Amino acid sequence: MIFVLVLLSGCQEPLPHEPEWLHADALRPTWERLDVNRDGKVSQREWGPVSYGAPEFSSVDQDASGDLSLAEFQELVRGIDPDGFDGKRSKLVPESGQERAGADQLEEVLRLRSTLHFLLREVEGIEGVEGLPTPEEVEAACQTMSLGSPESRGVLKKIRAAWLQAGFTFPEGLTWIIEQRGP
Amino acid sequence: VIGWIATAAMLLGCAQEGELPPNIVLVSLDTLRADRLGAYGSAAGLTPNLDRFAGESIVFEAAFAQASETLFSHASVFTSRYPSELGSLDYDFVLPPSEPTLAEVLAAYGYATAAFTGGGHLHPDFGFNKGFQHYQSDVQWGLLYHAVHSMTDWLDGPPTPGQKFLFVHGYDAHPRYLKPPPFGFLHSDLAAFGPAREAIISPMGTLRVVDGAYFPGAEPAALMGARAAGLLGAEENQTQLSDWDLEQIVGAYDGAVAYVDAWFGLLMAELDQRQMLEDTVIVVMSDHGEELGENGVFNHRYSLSEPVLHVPLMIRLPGGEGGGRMVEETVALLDILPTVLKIVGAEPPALTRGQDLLKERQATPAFSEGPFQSLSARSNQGRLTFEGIDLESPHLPHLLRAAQLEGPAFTWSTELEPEAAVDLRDKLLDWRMSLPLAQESGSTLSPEQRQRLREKGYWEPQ
Repeated sequence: MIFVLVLLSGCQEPLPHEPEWLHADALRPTWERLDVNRDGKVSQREWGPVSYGAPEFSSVDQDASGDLSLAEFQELVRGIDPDGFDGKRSKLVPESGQERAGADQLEEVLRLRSTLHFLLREVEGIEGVEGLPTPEEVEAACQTMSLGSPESRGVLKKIRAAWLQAGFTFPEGLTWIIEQRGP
Repeated sequence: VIGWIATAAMLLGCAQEGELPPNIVLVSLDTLRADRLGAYGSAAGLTPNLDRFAGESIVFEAAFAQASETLFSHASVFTSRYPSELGSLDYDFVLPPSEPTLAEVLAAYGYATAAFTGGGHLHPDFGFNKGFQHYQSDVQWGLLYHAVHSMTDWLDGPPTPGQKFLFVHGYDAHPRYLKPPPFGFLHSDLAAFGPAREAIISPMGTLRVVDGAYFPGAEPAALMGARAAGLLGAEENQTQLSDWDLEQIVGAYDGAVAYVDAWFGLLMAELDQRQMLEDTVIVVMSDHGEELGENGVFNHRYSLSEPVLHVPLMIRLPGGEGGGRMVEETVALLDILPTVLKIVGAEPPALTRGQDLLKERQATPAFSEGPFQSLSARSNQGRLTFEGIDLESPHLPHLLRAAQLEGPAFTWSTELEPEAAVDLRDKLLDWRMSLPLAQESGSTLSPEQRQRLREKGYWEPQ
């Protein structure tokens, strides 16, 4: 009887393998951590504080839903070459400014752009907030590669005014930069 | 303890009775402190994937590295010998060609051997490719990101005969800590303008944080030299950091830990997708930890302290059987080689120093060596470390015995009662005097490799 059972079991098709360790599960805890308001999606606002060096949100948000799904997040994490993130390769190299800045200075441009865009995102779209710097002004500031340049300070002043209009507390470190080196 | 040993023996017994031996995957997560893992007591939630893995593994709570550097620690793991048996602890160190390695033994037993490393101190220039039929290290200071991609390419390539031994390594938690979004600022504040942010972002930035101050532009090795000479205060260009600044830097390290955890989860998913979890033993370790402001630095090479030497060590048997057990006994990374060889039924090399982790074992302190004339012993009761002693001196026994165990000059101890400290010192001395020290280093490094080391902040080879 046992022999028959063994024979029979040997004839059965092998069960399909169902992995227990899934790619999406590996990244789910981080994605859920980013979902601060627990609404099941990561908004551009939630993404802002951790977006240093990231591609533009629009390129990450592939379905243009305005939010980052777990699948999109997975694509992002698996797709960002850490070498590119070091500023030594092309993945995150911006098209404008590259030739002028050179490899060593590129990181300064990226850092400045990330900083200014982060500050801007906090107040963009808030009702009653006016006088934000134009994209051209922000880009001109980035190209100076210095937070203390007249261009950057001009942009910072406008952003600070916008933060105050929105009722936010502007970072003290930046206020220091504006006031100590003010025009 | 008897319970988990019996279970492990039963499981391994099954593998040895006519079954193929298991595949072996050794994962080395460079610079990962044990205390960052939930499985080792952290409540920060940085490592959900490693914690899940711990639930399927035998977890060694008190595992210690034999050295504070990637180069020497891996040499010890691969040979189950102490670093100074293999060569001088400087950057001319090369794994002796005559020394049998784990990969060589497994290859001799029919294993297909492949390594996917982050290069740096695991570059073939240092001899670590011995015994590997495929050895990848072309990305310098590469991360698990690179290793996992390389591993899956190899697994999906032309089939290889025999069971597999894979060595997978990444420098994810190694300086610089900053990792790609969202991990870079997942546990620190993007709005941390000023020196903390600069230290996090700039290459070698955290190596320029010493004794609570940031020294932009300074050469890390020169900085430590100035500190040793008491001249640190004379450095002109420095910024004092606040506690909050230092917390941001620690947060950047934690972000790197979260990054390596995510990639470890992806690694497990890749193995599972290829149905390898049922017939594979997976060993997860770190070669050393990291000081995060302890002793005034963010580094691992300058002292043999608990944060530097206490490392995660977990063994997942096929199918995760018997997982979730915690082992309290003090164990060493050089115990990995005899354990793996026992699992596959291979004979360990004659001079193997370690013991089988899955058998009842003789209680032994974990001994460690550092590149600055330092030795350390760790028992279940605590750690004893000697630093700055001439280890080549014929009077070493006298020097160690004469050292004031509580004195600040060149020794220090932690949480040890005086009697236990003396006992541990004597064991350390017996161990050291019994070691057949290597007489000379191996060959010298290539100019290119020296340059790569300099770019990462390592000092010139002595």
